Parts: sequence; C-alpha cells; structure tokens
Amino acid sequence: MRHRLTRRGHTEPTGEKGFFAQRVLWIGGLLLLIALTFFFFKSQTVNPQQHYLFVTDLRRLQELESVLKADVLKTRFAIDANYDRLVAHGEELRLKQLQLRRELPLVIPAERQPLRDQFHEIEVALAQQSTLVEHFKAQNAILQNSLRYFPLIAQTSLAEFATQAVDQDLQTDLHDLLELMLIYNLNAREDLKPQVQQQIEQVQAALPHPVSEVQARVENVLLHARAIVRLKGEVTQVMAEMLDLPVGPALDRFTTAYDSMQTRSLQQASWYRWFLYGTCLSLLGFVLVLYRIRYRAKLLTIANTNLEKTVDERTQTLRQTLNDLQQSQMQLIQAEKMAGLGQLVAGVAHEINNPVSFIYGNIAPTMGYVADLMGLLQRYQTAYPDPSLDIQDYLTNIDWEFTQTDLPRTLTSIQTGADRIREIVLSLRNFSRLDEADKKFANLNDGIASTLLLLQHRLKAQPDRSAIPVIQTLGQIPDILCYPGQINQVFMNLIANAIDALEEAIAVDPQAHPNPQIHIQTALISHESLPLLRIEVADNGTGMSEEIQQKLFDPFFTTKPVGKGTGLGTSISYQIIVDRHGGTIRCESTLGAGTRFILELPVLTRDS
Amino acid sequence: MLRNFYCHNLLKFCRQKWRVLTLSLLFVACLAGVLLSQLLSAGTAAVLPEPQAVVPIAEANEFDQPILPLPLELKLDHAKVALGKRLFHEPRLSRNGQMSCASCHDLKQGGADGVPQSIGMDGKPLLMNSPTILNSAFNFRQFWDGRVLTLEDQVNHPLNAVNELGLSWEDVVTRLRSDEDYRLRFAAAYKQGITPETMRDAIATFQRSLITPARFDQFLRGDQKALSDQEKVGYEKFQSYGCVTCHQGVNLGGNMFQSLGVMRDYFSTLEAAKDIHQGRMNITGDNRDRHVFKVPTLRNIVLTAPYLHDGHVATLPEVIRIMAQYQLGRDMPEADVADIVAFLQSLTGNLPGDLATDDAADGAAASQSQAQSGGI
Repeated sequence: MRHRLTRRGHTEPTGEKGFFAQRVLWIGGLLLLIALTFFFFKSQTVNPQQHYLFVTDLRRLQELESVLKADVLKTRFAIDANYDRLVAHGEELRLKQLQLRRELPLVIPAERQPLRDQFHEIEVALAQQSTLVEHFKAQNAILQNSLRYFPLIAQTSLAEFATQAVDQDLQTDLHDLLELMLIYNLNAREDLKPQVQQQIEQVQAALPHPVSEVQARVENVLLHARAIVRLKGEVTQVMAEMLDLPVGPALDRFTTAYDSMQTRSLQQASWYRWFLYGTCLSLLGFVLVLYRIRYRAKLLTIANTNLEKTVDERTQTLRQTLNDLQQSQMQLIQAEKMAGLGQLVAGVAHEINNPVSFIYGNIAPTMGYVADLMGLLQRYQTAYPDPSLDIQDYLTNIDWEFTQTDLPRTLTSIQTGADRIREIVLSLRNFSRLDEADKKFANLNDGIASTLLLLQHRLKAQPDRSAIPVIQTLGQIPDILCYPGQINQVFMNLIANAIDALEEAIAVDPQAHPNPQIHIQTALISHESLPLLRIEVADNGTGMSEEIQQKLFDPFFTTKPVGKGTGLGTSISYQIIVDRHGGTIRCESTLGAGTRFILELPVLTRDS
Repeated sequence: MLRNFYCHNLLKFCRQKWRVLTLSLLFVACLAGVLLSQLLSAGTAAVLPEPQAVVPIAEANEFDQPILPLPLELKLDHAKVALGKRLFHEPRLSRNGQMSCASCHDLKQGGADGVPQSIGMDGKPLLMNSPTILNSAFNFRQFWDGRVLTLEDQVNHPLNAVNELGLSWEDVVTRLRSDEDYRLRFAAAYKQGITPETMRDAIATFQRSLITPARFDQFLRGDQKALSDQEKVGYEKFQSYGCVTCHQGVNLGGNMFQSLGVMRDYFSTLEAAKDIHQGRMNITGDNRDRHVFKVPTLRNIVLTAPYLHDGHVATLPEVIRIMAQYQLGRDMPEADVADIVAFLQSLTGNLPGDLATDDAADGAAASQSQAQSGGI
C-alpha cells in the first residue's frame, strides 16, 4: 500500500502502464493473426485432389503413349485393318495433354520453371510424334497395298509367262526378284535392300524393248517392287524416328522430378502445418485469456455494484433507525411532558376539589341562613315600624331594599360558579386520568364530552368569528377497554386541528365558509363480523392536498406557523390508536371542502 | 504489485466489450477469408469442355475389319442440336445477310453444293471444293488440308474468311444478342448465353448429329440382304484393289492423310505449283506433305460430285479410275469400276428425319423478318 502511495505521488504512471498493456495486447493479437495467415498459406501446398488428378493424368498420358505405339505396330503388321483405334487413342492422348497443360499451373508453381520447361519438351516430342504417326499412316497404307499386290501380280505374271514364249532370263530374274522380295519382307532385313534394288535393275534391263503386253506387265510388277523398297524404307525410318523420340524417357524424367518436388513441398508443408497448429492453439489461448479477463472484469463490476448497493441499503437502514430513534426520543419527551402536565393538572384539580367542595357544600346552608336572617329582619321591621333615625340612615345608605333582593341572586350566582368549578375539575380529572395508568373500561362518548368541555373556550364566538357549532351524533356505544387518558388526548388533537382548519378557512375567505361546523360521530359497526367502534371527526374547513395527506402522520410534520404546532399531534395520535390500541386511523380530505378523520377501535367489552 | 497493474489495465482493456469482440471477429474474418480464397482458387470453372476432334466409337471393337458401321445413336443435347441447326441456316451469320453455312453445305445435296468450287460472296468461285458436312464428326481433322482439329475450330474459318461469310465474332454476337428469340434459346441451352464459344459449340453439336446410316451399315451388322449381288461384288473389289487401305474405318476415310499420286505423278497433268495442289504442305511447310490431302469420306459419295480437292473430276467412274491408276498403281477394267460404283451407292444414307427438313431455316428467316419489322 505504501508502495502504491509513493507511485501515486509520481506523474500518473498508471495511465502509461495501461496504454502499454493495451499496446502489447493489440500487437500480440495482430502478430498471432499474421503468423496464422502466413503459416496457413505456407502449409497449403497443392490441393491434394489436384495433385492426384495430375499424377493420374500423367500416368494415363504415359500409358496412352505406349498404347499409341502399340497401335502403330498393330496397323503396321495388319492386325488392325483400320486406323480408327489409332486415331481414337491419338485424340485421347491429345486431350490428355491439353488437360495436363491446364492442370500444370495449378500443381507446379511459377518458380519451378525448369519443371514446366520439362513438360514443354514432352509436348514438343508429342507433337513430333503426331506428325510422324500421320506420315506412317499414309505410307503404311500404300505399303500394305503393294505388299499384298506385288506377290500376286508377280506370280500371276510368271504363270502366264511360262505358257507364253517369254525370254527365259526375264522369267528367272523375275522369279529371283519375287523370292528376294519375300525374304526382304519377312525378315525385315534392311541389308537386303541394295540387293533387291539391284535385282529390280536387272529385271528392268532384261525387259524386251518393243512395247508389248509383257513389258507393261513387268513394268507394273517393277512399279510395286520399287514402291515396296521405297515405302518399306520410309516406314521403317519413320518408325525408327518415332521410337527415337524422347517422349517416354522425358515423361519418366518429368514424373520423377515432379514426384520429388511434390515430396519436398509436402514435407515442408507438413512442418508449416505443425506451426499452424501451434499458432492456432496460441490464438485460441489468447482469445480464451481475453475472455477470461473480460469475465473477471465483469465479476468485479458486479461485485462493485453489489457493494455499493449494500452500502446504500445499510445507510438507508441507519438513517431510518436514526429517524426512529429521534422520533421515539421526541415522543418520550412529549409523553413525559404530557405525563407531567397530566400529573400537574390532576394535582391542581385534586387541590382545587377540596376548597370547591367547601364552597359548594356550604352554599346551601349559607342560603338557608341568609333566608333566616332576612325573615328575622322583616319581623323586626314589622314590630318596630318606626326605627331610630340612625337605623333609618343606615338602611338608606346600604340600600337595603336592593340588598334584600340582590343577596339571594348573588348567592345563587356563587352556587352556579362553584358548580362550574366542580365540573371543570371533574373534567380535568377525567381527561388526565392519571389515576388510570392501566387499561380500563371507559365510555368514549364521555371522553368526547369532557374534551369538548375543555375546548369550550376555543369554540366560543371570537371577535373575528361567530361560535363554531359542534354537531354530535353519538350512538349507543359500549364501554371499551382502553387507556382513556390517551384516547382523550387523541380527541383533543383531532378537535383542536378541526378548529384550526375552520379558523384558517374563515381567515382566508369568510364568504366561502359561511357555515363552519364540526361534526362528531360515534357508532358501533361490524367489520368482517368483528365489532368495531367508529369515531369520526369532520370539519368543513380548508382540507388538505394529496401531498400533505401523505406526510400527515410523519412526526414533526406541521403546516402551522413556527411555534404554534409541534408537528407531533397526529403522529402521537397515530401511535396511540395504531400501536397502543391496535386500531386504525385514516384521513379523508378534499382541498377546500374539509377533512374527516376516521378512527376504528376494536371493541373489547366486559362480556367478551 | 506490478502484476496488479497489468491485471488492472487488462481489466480496463477488456471491460470494453467491443475490443474483445473486434479481436475475435478479426480472427474469424481472417480464417473465413483464407478459406474463401482457397475455395475460389479451387473452383477454376472451365466454360465448356475441350472440343473433341473425333466422336469416340463406343462399340467398335473389331478393328480387324477395315470398315466399321456407324454407331446406332449419339448422345447429344437436343436443345443444342436445334439451336445449331438454326444457326447453320442463319443468313445473319454472313456480312451481306444472304449466305449461311447451308449455302455451301446443303443438307439436300449430300451436305455439299454440287459445284467444283463454291461461289464466294463476291460471286467468284472459291479455291476448294466444298466437302460434305455429313458424318463430319468422324473426320479426325477438318478441311482438305486438315488445318483444324475440331468442328468447333472449323466454324471460325468460313465465318471469318472475307470472301465466305465475312463476319467477326463480335459482329455475330452483337447481331444475335439483339434477337430476343436467340437470347432465350441460348439461355435455355447454355448458362453462358450468347458467346462465340457457345455458338461454336451449338453449330458443332448440330454437325455431330448429321450422321447418315446406310444400307451398307446394315450389311456390316450382318444383314446380307441389305446389299445387292453387284454391290457385294463391288465391295469385294473395293477391298481387293486396295481402295480400303485408305478409305477405311467408320467413315471410309477421314481418319488419315494421303499423298495424291503415290504410285504415279498425278500433278504432271495439272499446274503442279498451284497453291491449292500443295495440300497439307501449305499448313506444315514440310516437303513430305506436298500434295497430301485428308482422305475424304466415301459416305454419300454419289451425292457429292464433283470430286477431289478442287472438284476438277466430274464423275464417280472417272475419279475411281484416277484413284486406281495413281494411288493403287493398277489398271481397272470398266466392269470393276461399275461394280465399285454400285457398291458406293450403298453408302448413301439418310439423315434423321427432323434434321433433313429446312424448317429451322424458315424459322430463322421468320425471326429475322420479325426483327427487321421490329427495328422499323
């Protein structure tokens, strides 16, 4: 941590490092991709399919080349009587050669020019071969004819000459020629050629000069003999040339060279393929690492978010707790205050109760005694109609006549006053009920009555307004188990709020509220077969907005001017009704039309 | 601590999803690209298969016989044959719009035109005699001098020759592409549409369909009654004289070259130095090829007079005598000539029914007039 702090003291090394790491990552990935591409292309030698196709075609070309030579021999020795087979194979060879020429650039790269040249040599040789085959075909056809015709015509002539008077020498020479030609033919001995030619010349020389049938015959024999000699030589030469053509060896050389090239490049490619596999794996690893890091980053982000959320939640809870605590504290204080006040009120009420009792208790006898005294004085006045001047002056001074009539009235007034004091004290005691700290059975109608009594001074007509009438629709309700003092406090709050609302309404616009009034209702209702006590306190004052209604039961919320309200009235009421008595309290209010508080308390009567 | 720094920064790096995604995508894209290029390089699509010079003879196993019967059927794409037939009769394939392949190779005249030399576009005779196109699929080379190997290649020559059809391929392609009907027909037969290659292929395919089985083929397949006695005798003499050494194979020729005048000098009576008489030497420059021509087919020979490379021999007996004298080195009695002529008549065959008619020509003419009226 210390290390980090010192680092942080420098000029933002984190940023540079981050940049560097990104660079490394990018370059690494890019290098891997380049390597992948490179190895891929290097490992792609020749499409194996093409290679095998080429090799197969090459083999077929070799085969066809031999077949063609065999066909040539077959026609040479008249095994084949036509050239169709030879032509068909020649055509197949040509097409195969064209096919190989097309395939060549696909299997032999341009840098292997010598190998391509080698193939070109083969093509040249094949072209020469094709030309030679054509010459062979032409000459062979004529040769076959003459070979077939020569013995025939020679023998026929000899047979005819034997019966005619033909020169014996000519016959012998012709016979020798026939024999010689047969040997020459059958043995394929070229060394006999001069001998044959010599014999031909000899026959020619032996010919009789005059134009005759015999001469024409022999000329014809000699024509074919010469043709045989000439064509046989040519055919032999053409065939020798054909055999000398380097097609076969060139093909062999080419095949060998191609094979070794292919083997080498395959070996090379297999090395590159291993590199390719390696690169592929690395790249895969690379991507995996990236995803792993990304995954971790995601996890971290999630953890972060969760943490913040948790902290928020905790803070919220703490704030709530603090609020609750503050509220409790205030309520405690208020409760303490109220308890103190209640004790005070109760004490005062108790203390006043005794003296008031003296007054109240002694008024009746006092009135009796005064009546007695008045009677006595009347009797004296009757007995002594003329009192002394002193008495007469005194009577005049004290205005006896008036006193006589006013005294009983005064006493009655005192009685009335004492009576009212007694009532008030009773109400105070009822209200505070300090003597009633436990739950008791009480009638809430009484509570309402004593509350109203305590608030009498506020309901009375004021200089700026008339008295506020309170309409009470109190039903027959049973006593319920409750804290009567606390319930009374609720009534006090609600009625006081109603009065405030009405006063505010009148202050704002008297015309709009010509008939301000408070309506209090109590009733026994039944909700889901459970008996409930329902108390409604309604006014037709200003009413409340939606917003205010929502905060109505929040502690310390007040709409009144500073110093006038504590903001605790409704919240304490809520606590008393909901928390202490298990009831409900709700408010229905329309802005400008009035507010209605509805309390519902569970009924626990003595019978239950 | 240092490690922590790296980790921290890596975390920062990776927290941005797009970076990780980009790297992964780049990786995938690279692989995909490599694979795609591999696939593309593998798929070297040849437009059309290499044209073949001769139709392979599937059933020909008896090569000890000099002459083989025509195959009973050839497997050809009917749509291409029909299209080729249309093109074959299409006058728009000539510069002046009046000639077509059929002008010199009339199917009704044995696939030739009956004159010594065909008349060119300028109204003057061309150099050589029009060979029949019937059974030309069995010729191993095309033209008298065998200058091209395949029927596809052959199409170029009369089309581009100034005095024949006189058009470049660009012209032809432009003309045909403006024709809705041709566009549809080509699209149906070839995925490449109208190109010089597909046109050549269609015409060549049509030509390959032009085979004419004859009575002689029935005879070769064992029907002895297919030939008359004289024809059979003629066939015997055809063989014994040695005609069959060159006129052999399924097409009675067309599969070899031969020098004209092997036994005696034929050109001593003609202007021997004329180019047209030099034959294959014009192509190869080889002195051995002087006066060498492709041995022509003898199928339908009675229909394709006059004879020889420049058509200077008017009748069949005449040319038979020439052949006997100069090629075989023999004299042939008139009776034998007559027998061989009789035999040669058995080589006249019939085209498959739907190919002999000219309805494609009518159709082409109709479409042409339609195109013209559309143009107006």
